[in-house]
This record gives sequence, structure tokens and C-alpha cells, in this order.
Amino acid sequence: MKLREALLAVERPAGGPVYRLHLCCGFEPLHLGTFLKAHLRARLAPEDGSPSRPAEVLTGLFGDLKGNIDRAIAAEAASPLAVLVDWADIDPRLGLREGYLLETDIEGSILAEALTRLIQLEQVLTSAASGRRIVMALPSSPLPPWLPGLPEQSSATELQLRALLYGFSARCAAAGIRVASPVPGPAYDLRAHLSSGFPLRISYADALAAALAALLVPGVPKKGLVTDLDNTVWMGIVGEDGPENVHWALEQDARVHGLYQQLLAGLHAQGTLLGIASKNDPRPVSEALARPGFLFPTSALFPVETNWGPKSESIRRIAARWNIGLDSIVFVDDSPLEVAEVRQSLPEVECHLFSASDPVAALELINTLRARFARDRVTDEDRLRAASLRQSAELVDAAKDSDPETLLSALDARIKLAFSRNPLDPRAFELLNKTNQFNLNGERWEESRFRRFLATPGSLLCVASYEDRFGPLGKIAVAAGSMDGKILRLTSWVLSCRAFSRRIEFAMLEALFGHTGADAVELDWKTTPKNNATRHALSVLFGQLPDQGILLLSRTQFTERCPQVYAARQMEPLDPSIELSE
Amino acid sequence: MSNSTTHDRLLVCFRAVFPGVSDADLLAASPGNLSAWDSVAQVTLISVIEEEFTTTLPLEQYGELTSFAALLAQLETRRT
Repeated sequence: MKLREALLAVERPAGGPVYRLHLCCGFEPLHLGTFLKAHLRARLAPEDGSPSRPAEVLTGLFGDLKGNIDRAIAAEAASPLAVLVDWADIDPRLGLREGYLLETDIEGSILAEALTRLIQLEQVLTSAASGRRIVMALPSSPLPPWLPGLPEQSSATELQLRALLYGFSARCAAAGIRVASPVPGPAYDLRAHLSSGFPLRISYADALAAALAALLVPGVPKKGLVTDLDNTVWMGIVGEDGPENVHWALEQDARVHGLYQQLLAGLHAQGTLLGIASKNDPRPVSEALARPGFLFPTSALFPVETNWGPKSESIRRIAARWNIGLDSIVFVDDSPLEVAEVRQSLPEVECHLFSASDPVAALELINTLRARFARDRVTDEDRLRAASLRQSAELVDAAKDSDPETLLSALDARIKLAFSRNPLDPRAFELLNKTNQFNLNGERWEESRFRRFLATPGSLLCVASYEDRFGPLGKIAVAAGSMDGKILRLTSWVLSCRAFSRRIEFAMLEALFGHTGADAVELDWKTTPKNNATRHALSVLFGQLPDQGILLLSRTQFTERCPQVYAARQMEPLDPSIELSE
Repeated sequence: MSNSTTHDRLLVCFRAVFPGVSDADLLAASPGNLSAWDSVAQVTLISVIEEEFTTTLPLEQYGELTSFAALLAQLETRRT
């Protein structure tokens, strides 16, 4: 993005609440603030093309990074911070803009000062990190040219300074602060630094702002990868070469396929669903997948669609088994024809061509795929996801042949409902922001708003975990709201698609009635293009699909219409800070 | 690059830095008659122009490049 484009972007009409960011740095932020606003607005823009939310970037005083951080934290609870640490913030004598008399043997003094300042920064940042989103970037400017040693040499002082900085940033990262990866390309602009106090090249400021905005407002990761097998997961065509003659090792010049398999292993470990769409007969595929030596667990592949029909049809079936939208799926194939067919038939699916003959392109694709599924933390539910989806599919299969009441009563299901609001539960936050099919109104929660909500007296957060004889599903549902007299007002209510068909939504409502003592539950109901599962539940509770708006469900109404819930319920103690009316 | 093209491209830069100001006012603007034209706007305007024209304006003349005409003349000088 050019600076002119960023200036125009921030002037476009905006709607909704302001996203307020404190940009804390010791230099003049100037264009970085403009680029940050532009990139934040782009990331906050709704998918339907309506105006983006406005973004406000608040800055501080020149040359006072620590003071700027202190003031930003004191000014506003829960608002996010972007912190840019430069060498001059660690010791002013390391800056290029201001001149200092350099005494002999000054390096020890600088290292001591750097250590002191980094400890101070670490204390204030790590303390604040539990209550707000903080992102951080490390120095963009070079170290001053007077440090001793050959030009080509990293001096002991320089290495010790970098060690101090990396230790500091590692501890910040461990505390939950998102530290930006190094942004490629030349960063420093001495001319601009001297003339205006802004030390960055324009192109670098744009790239850095884009990276910080992505850390502040991450994209929603894709959920499932459907991949081809021949000349993709392995080198060779299993139907022609035979199961024993497909390869993925360096010795057979097939290392790019091994790299791809390692990506699959990483994606599986973080909960990404892996499915196969392959034009093959099932037998050679299953024989090949049974071979030892794969670099990822082939048991993670589910479903494996091997047939001679269009791959778009295989992907449709896989999406149905996974119970996720086609827009959450990425498809990879080495055949341009297959990619084109899927692109044309399923435009919602993101398609990529695997080019085994071009290792550089293959590595680029691997990096792209890693980014599409990236998540900054892996929860227990992420690790359970693939297994629980397979269990859900087994449940659906079992339901085909039996009466649903008989099946549900035999599930040996247990639901745990927790009402804790503190600390922030990342899984609850994730569910609120990525669940589509069972979602009361489609509303998304910004992290700072979620933190403020949790800190508000009287707010209520119910998180449901589920387990049955098919295995645990982990935390799969969230209800958020507040008590108003004898009415429980629910502003958000979501249930993971992995947990459908088990009447968990009804068990949650029953628990909420029981534990809050509410006479009625108020539901802020809005239809979205995707929340059909919520429509179904509300139709059961109200006898027909209610119009959009605020719905009031009385305890009597609920008792009369709630279907039988077979799962055993276990409640964690109600948060004592919730004030319930008598 | 024709004179009119330079003129038009420079005007695009001015529009981005001073949104909501008419073209006629931009052509006659200076820090003295446009309140939005402060020191930050001056640095931003110079940066936008340098990026758009892939050029570097002389640092020592920043204080004189405070009108559309002065900037256009500077760009024209660099073109010839």
C-alpha cells in the first residue's frame, strides 16, 4: 500500500464502534500511524462489503517509550497496545539521531543501562498483557557505527545487546505478547529520521503496519485441508506405479512431498482437518497409506475420498462429514485441470496448485498454507477436533439405523458447565468468533470488548464441555450475557458444529435457568446466512421460527417445549460476583 | 511525462493529504491560508510526493516547497 492510498483509505466512510489502539514508541510515529489505521480498517471490514469500523491510533511523547506505555495502560482498560522498541529506547546512546559524548570503555555502561531499561519494560508489559492485547516489534534501526570491531564482525557488545533484547522479547512472548516476525526489506531511513524524527522507509512502515495489524486483528483460520495424493502427498501415481513405488524422500528426489507431509503433520497437531480427494481406486490408496515411514500420521486423514468422480463432489461430501462450510476449506492438487474444476464448481473453496517440479514454488505454497491455517495458540479442543469429528460422523452413521431417543439415551453423555469469567478463556473467545451454524446473531467479539465484558459486574459467561462414549469434544459451547432482575439477557450463544445433534443447546438453557434462577431468558436473535442450526433450536423452543429481534423465553415455555436431555450435567460453582435478584 | 500529467499527479497527492479541500483551493493553498497544512502535513505531503514520483526532494528546500506551484516547479525542474 502506498502512503497516498493509506491516507485515502482512512478517510473512507466508516461505521460501528471505534477500534482504539495505543501506538507506543520513542520515535515520531508519523506515517506508521496512518498505515496502521489503514491496515486495521481493512482487517476490520465486514465480509458483506459494508463500511469498515473506524480505527483510531493514539500516540505519545517523543523519546519516552516507557512513559508512553505507562500512560496508555493508565488511560484505558483493555485497549490494545502496539509497542515498538528501538535501540535508542534501550539506551539513548545507541540512537543515531541524537549526539552523545562517548567516553572510553562505554560499552559496559551501555549494557548495564540496556539491562535496566529492558527489565523495566518487561515488568510493565508482562503485567499488562493479561488484561489486554499487546503486540510488539523489535528495533528497525541499525546499531550505531562506533561499536568496536571490524565492519564485518559482530562484536561481543553487539551480541550481548541482541541477547538482552531477544531474552526480553522471548519472555514477553511467553507472557502472551505477540512479537512481530522480522519484516523483510530495508527498514531504516536516516534522512527521514534526521529531518522529521520518523526513522522508517515508507515501504517498510507499510509492511510493519500490516504485520502489526494482523497480530492485533488476526484473520479467521481455515478449518480443513483437502489434498490430492498422487504427485502431491507423494511422488508417483499409486494406481500405475503401485503402492510400494510412491516416494517422499530425498533419495528418490521426492523431498518436496516429504516437506508437504511435514506441513500436514504440523497442521494436524494444531487441529486442522485433513481430508483426501483422490481419483484412484480405494485399494492401492489404502495400501500405500498403510506403509510405514510417512512424515505425518496417516490416521489423521478423514475422510479419504477415492473415486473417479469430480473432485468437487468429493469435497462436498468431505465438507458434509466435517460439518463445516465450503469457505473454510482449502484444496490442493497438482493438476491444473482438477484445480480449475473445483474452482469453477465450488468458488467458495480456496484452491492451490502443488508444483512438485518447482521446489521454490512448493515451499511458497507450504508457507501460504501455514498462514491460512495459522493460529497463535493451540487449545485442547484444537487437538481433539479431528478425532471428535470422526466420532460425530460415527454418531450420525449410528443414528441412521436407530431411534434418536434410544441413541441419545445410550450415549453416556456428560456436560460440564463452567461459569468462570476470569482469566480470559481463549477457547471461549475463539468459539464466539468463529462459530457460524449455531450462532444466536452472528455477532463477533473484539478482544478488548470481551475483556471489558468479563470485567463488568453482573456479566455471565457459561462455557460448556462435552464428553460421551465416543470420546471428549472439549469446550464446545458458550453463552454470554447478564442478569437484569429475574431475566437473563443472552447477547451471544454459540455451539460448535462438532457437537450438534446431542441437545447440548437445550442442556445449556436448562442449566442457565437452574443456576441463575431466572424467570425468563431474553435472546438477541438475528438470522445470518449460516445460522440454520440456531433456527432449528429456536423453532423447537417457540413452536415456530420466530421473527428476528429480542425474544423472551419464559421458564414455563422452556419446560413445556424442551426435548428430553439425557446427558448428565455437572455445574461449576456460580461466579459469586453475579448479583442475582431474589 | 507531460506537464499536465505532472500537474494532475501532484494534485492527486494534495487531495490525499488534504481531503475535503476543493481543487481550486488546493491549487492556491499554502500553510498560511490552509489550517490543515501544518508541519506534519508538510512532511506527509513531501513523503507522498516522493513516493508517487519516485524521487527525493532536497531536504534543504522543504521550507520553501509550501505551495502547489512551488512543488510543481520543483518536480518539473527535476524532470528536465
